[in-house]
Amino acid sequence: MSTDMRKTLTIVLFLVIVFTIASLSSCKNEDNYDYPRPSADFYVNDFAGALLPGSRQSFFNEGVRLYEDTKDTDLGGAQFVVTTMLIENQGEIASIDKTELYRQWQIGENDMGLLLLLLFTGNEEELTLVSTQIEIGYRMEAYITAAEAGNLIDDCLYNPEWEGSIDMGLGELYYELISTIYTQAYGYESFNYDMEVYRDFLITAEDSEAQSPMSLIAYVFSSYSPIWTKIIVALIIFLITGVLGGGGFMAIRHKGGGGSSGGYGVKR
Amino acid sequence: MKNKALLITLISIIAVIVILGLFFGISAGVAYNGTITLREDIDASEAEIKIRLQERHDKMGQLISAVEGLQEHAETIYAQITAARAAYAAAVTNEDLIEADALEAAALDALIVTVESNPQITATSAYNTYMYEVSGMENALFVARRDFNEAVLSYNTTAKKFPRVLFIGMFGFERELEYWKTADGSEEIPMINVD
Repeated sequence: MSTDMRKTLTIVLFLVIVFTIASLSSCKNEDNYDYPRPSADFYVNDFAGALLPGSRQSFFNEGVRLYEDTKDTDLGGAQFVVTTMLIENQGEIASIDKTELYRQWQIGENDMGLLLLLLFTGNEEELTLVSTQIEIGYRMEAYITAAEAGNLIDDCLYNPEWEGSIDMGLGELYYELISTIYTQAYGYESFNYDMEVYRDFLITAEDSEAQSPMSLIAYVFSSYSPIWTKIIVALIIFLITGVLGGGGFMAIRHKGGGGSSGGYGVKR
Repeated sequence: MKNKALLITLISIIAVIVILGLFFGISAGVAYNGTITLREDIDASEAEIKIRLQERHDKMGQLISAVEGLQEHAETIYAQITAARAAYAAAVTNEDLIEADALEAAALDALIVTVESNPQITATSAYNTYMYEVSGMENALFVARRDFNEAVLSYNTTAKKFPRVLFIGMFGFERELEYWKTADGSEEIPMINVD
């Protein structure tokens, strides 16, 4: 490669990088509220740090299993996403649009998705659950009604048996909802779970890293960024790794299935 | 020599005409397809609103039946709900539907306030279930109206911009479409108070 060619290539590469960064930084949310990108785990996004590691691992494993079990069916792969967010005060609840969050994350294939959003106030020492919201994907509406979801929140999350434990209440709510998806939508005869086993797992589960929204690079390779940014960044990586002699690159483990919703669900 | 210059001029004029024709043709095609897409978005959003309105209308009927003693103790509210439901049933045009939508939303608000503030009116065990449904429907209606209005905004804005503005009338598309207007307060989504 001649010196002139190298110079030209360097300039082109530099311009492409500058253009990409400038474009990505302009990809801001048009809404008033700045929603986070999902975590790399996708099925559980404990941004408030409200859940025990055992809950996070359980919801993640069940979320993956649900999608894997259903992705080859006519209805498409169901995705059930649990998210906790920390807000300043209760006045902020009204500005959070669960439908917008659902649509941005594109939950569920063929609109077969469910988003369980829990909003907390407080700090690391003491968190208070101030709002529980469920957004139901367009097609999922046929299998889970707002009334069912609302009644399950009342019966499970606020079940006196759990003595105020968010993890236990949320665990029961999660399993009841996922059970409804399996049996009502996909025709499974039953979905069994044991809250005692779940409780034991909460105690014994190993600690895991706190979750945070995806990094910029992870975002670029997820389904949320425009295709041209992927092409440009892939080109840059190809050029760099090509020059340096290759090497592997990260991948997103899980992502949204392209689903949408119409605001149907529960706010409590 | 003179003939050659004339030929070049002629070819240049033809080339300019062809280029302009191509530009016009491509612009017209892009404008037509783009407008069709925008119109389809609006039609889909309108259909969504109508589905949601019908669902709310049905759920309202169930909600009323889950409240005992409403007619005896709050006749005005009962009359308001009946009138709103009748207006919806008789609605033919979008304007009628928008009016019926606002009436039903106002009647629903009044019903909730009446039940919650009047101990003589008792709600059956199914009341909360229907309230969750109605609240879910209201939220879905809110989103459907918003999606519709965003689609109309997108159409109206694009229709006024160059070069689309040149083709809108030519292809017989409307220059401006009406938004789904709501009465004051009808955008409020009922809050569920479950004890």
